[in-house]
Amino acid sequence: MADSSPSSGAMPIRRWLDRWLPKLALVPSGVALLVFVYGFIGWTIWLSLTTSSLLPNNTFAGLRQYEVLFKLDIWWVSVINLAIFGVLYVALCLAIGLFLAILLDQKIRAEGWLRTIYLYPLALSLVVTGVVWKWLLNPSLGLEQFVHALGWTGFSFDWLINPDMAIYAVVIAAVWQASGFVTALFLAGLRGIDSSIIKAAQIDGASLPRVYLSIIIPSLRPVFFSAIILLVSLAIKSFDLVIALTGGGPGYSTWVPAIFMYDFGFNRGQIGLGAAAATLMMAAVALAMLPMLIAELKGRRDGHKN
Amino acid sequence: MATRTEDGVARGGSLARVLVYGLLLLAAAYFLLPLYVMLTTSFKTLGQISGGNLFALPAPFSLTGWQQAWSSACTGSDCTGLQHYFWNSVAFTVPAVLLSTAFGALNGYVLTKWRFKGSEIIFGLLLVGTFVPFQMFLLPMARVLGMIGLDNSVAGLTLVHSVYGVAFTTLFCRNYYVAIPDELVKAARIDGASFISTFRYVILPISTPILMVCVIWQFTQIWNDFLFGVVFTSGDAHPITVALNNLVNTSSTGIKRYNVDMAGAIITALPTLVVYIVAGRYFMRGLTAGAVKG
Amino acid sequence: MAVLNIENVSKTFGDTRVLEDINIAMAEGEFLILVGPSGCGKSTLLNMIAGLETITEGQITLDGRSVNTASPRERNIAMVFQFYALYPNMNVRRNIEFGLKMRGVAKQERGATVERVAKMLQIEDLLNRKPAQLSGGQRQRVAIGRALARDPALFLFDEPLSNLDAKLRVEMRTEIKQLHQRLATAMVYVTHDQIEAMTLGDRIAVMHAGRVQQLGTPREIYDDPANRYVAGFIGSPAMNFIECELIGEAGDTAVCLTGATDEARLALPSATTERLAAHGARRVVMGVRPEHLVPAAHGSAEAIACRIDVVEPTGPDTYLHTEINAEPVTARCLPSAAPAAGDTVALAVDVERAVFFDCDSEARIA
Ligand SMILES: Nc1ncnc2c1ncn2[C@@H]1O[C@H](COP(=O)(O)OP(=O)(O)O)[C@@H](O)[C@H]1O
Ligand SMILES: [Mg+2]
Repeated sequence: MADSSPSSGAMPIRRWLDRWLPKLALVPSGVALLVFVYGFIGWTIWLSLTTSSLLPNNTFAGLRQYEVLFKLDIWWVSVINLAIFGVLYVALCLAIGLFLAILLDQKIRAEGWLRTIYLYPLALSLVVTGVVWKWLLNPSLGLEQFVHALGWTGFSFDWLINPDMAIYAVVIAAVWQASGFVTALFLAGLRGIDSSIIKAAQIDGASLPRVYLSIIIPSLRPVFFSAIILLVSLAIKSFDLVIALTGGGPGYSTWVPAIFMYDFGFNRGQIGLGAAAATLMMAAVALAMLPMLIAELKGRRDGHKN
Repeated sequence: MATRTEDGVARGGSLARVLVYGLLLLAAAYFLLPLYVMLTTSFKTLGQISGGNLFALPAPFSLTGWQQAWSSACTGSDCTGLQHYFWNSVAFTVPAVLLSTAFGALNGYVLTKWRFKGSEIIFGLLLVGTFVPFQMFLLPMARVLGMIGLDNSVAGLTLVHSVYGVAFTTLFCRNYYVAIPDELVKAARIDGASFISTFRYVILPISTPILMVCVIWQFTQIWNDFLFGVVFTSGDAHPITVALNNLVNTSSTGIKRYNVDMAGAIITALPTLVVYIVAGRYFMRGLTAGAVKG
Repeated sequence: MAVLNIENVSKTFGDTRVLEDINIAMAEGEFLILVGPSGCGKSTLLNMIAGLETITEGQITLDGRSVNTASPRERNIAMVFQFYALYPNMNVRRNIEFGLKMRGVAKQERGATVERVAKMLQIEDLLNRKPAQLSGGQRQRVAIGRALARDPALFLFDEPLSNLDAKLRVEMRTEIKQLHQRLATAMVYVTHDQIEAMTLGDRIAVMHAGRVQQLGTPREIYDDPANRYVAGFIGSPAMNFIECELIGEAGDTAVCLTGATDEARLALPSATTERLAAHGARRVVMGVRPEHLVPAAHGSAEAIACRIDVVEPTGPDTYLHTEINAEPVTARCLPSAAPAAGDTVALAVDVERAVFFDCDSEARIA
């Protein structure tokens, strides 16, 4: 029997559409993904390997841009700032987040309200956060003056204009912005813990702090993981807040790689250096993701074994 | 979970309860303080600011800061306030949110209900793409926007935000649609519905929650963006975040007018704050979905 | 002409083969059951008939025309799913008429069809409710209504009752049977429940490991199983399998069975012995259903003395658990004649009904 399918003229078109439309629907996004994400990654890496300066060019220069980059003080200032900022930002957000989450998990009456209050900074633009904290930390009229008015006239808080301390001012504002979010993550994690384990431990006579230290916190490992990944990649990308709060200053004292990349790539006509900086930022994010990916893969494999 | 807190962990004495509440309220104060200072300062006069207490309430109550921020403060060379830039932000945020949400829903639908050889790979590439720092895209994108004549324009920002937003909306929608039984789509196909009518009549009507998450997440991200705005536009085409930064850091007159700065900051923050207060539930869901990624 | 003809059909997912050389032809108005354990490929086969899965090899024809490449829309079929798959955003009326709407049927005609179907299934009161406001049984009725509305040439059911509680399941089973009798439309019905299969089907295809093990009427499948798998799958309690030695030669063969004490020898009917002789093996597996292993009449020569381990009354019958040839077996007796646990009872085998399988291949040999 020949393929005697119902051959009313419209059917082949319909069938063709049925078959191809799902794939066609992905085409715009697929092309965008290939061009604007993976194409651009390739392009930026390529630019970092050329002599591009004011205008991009295709003269291959090997790793010369990276060599130049590694000889620039300002790059190392940016990297060290990022290290200081990143470590403090992640540590403080985790500490505050975990602490507040544990407190919130004690059957608090107004929990919904408190959570809303803790989380709202995340809805704000980082520029707004920068502007507000710039005002609060202002050495002459902000918190310092308030403390003076309280009678402690010797108090001095000049972090914003002190090149050695300005990066810590950035930490303060950044932690304010994100710690409520980390609280929410930990709270969700705490709610997911099997309560029968905790009951069993208490029946066995474990005290409350012990239950937290040896049962609850260890079982929050996955939350720690995703929170750290998230915070690290936020830290590496941080740009808006620093610009708004300190403008990178005083001098270069609060530069971070994102500012370096922007300034060299767009203001100073050093496209090759900007591209090299961007590439290193991506490598840093990838490095931060690596432990999670490995843990994830391992977890999957173990999961299959069981 | 309620049972746990009832007769499990939280058993301590009343003193401990007081301590817990005290600490929680202290934390609330810490989070609210900047908002309070921002609001009160915006209603003060310059005289009150330089002479008075940071935490004092405005007396008298002045709208000068707001007026100037909206219509006459200097943002760089021109002094027309933030209003023009506010509408700029509206002009690219709204279409970019709608576009990225629409494509995200469509992609999520295909990636879960019409899987084909290679669709998992596309999803994997997309997932990885969400982690790449935007700095990797800036230099090529600036070139491309120049080539197609969209540099320094609201249309250019619409394109950029739509493109990079789709990765997130696709992720959200995929994770939502995965939980919808495949049988629903099979039933629709047997009933004679095509690829599009299945989406239109069966999937879309049950997608409201996830579309809300996408819209709110995208709105917050795009409205608050600074990086793309500062890199791809200049002068007239700036979004409000860039204009605010210029306003605050333009000290042409030499005096810092903190009331204007704070009013400007509130104007910039207001749309996303309102969304957060009205639809905080979806905001939180977007955040956790974004955090867990897949 | 066959309503549905499945010829040499195979299916692979990636490189796992889930269906192997399936051949089924279905007559007009027939009720065909696909039964088998979970994962044996029933749903896959049903989806291939519906056009929801591609066909790797072979051909499926509906009403005489090949539908290998046809979309579900182009096949005159309707399907009822295990988890109902009702559109949650539509009320019952719109669920039922959706298929008609998609096929461009005018609104008035759709309304008439909904009324007719709702009446037939007695769901007229539910038409304006959303699926979430219905009970499991009501949902399944609506799902059936959705299939009925289209008046298809073939109905497909994929385990439609397995989500319902036991009582409702029995009720719906009867209703589906009545529905079939009324409509006289061909139906393919997938289930893993052998009782459903036996009660509903005109013919049953027993599937296992991607193959049709046997295709036949319920009686054929029950009395004349093609292999040990089918024999064990159909029937509850399951058939007893006793490995035993054959003695004597063709025309005069007996099997040795040992209960609690001595060995008993059971002479086999001559038709059986001839087939066993043709096969040649000395060790075979004898299959005896519990109802063919019953307490022997007094003084019967060929009885096996067995010690009863457990007595299990079920109401109409009482089952006795014991051992023959060191393998656990189940016998059946009348409740009034039930022994006590620990008693030794003489059991008789109805050798006319016993079946024999090869020890290794498990194929039926007699
Ligand atoms: N889309 C698929 N991809 C890969 N394997 C599948 C797919 N669908 C079903 N299978 C496999 O095919 C086999 C048969 O599945 P199915 O037809 O659903 O069984 P049944 O309905 O009899 O329980 C199972 O082993 C299942 O894991
Ligand atoms: Mg199945």
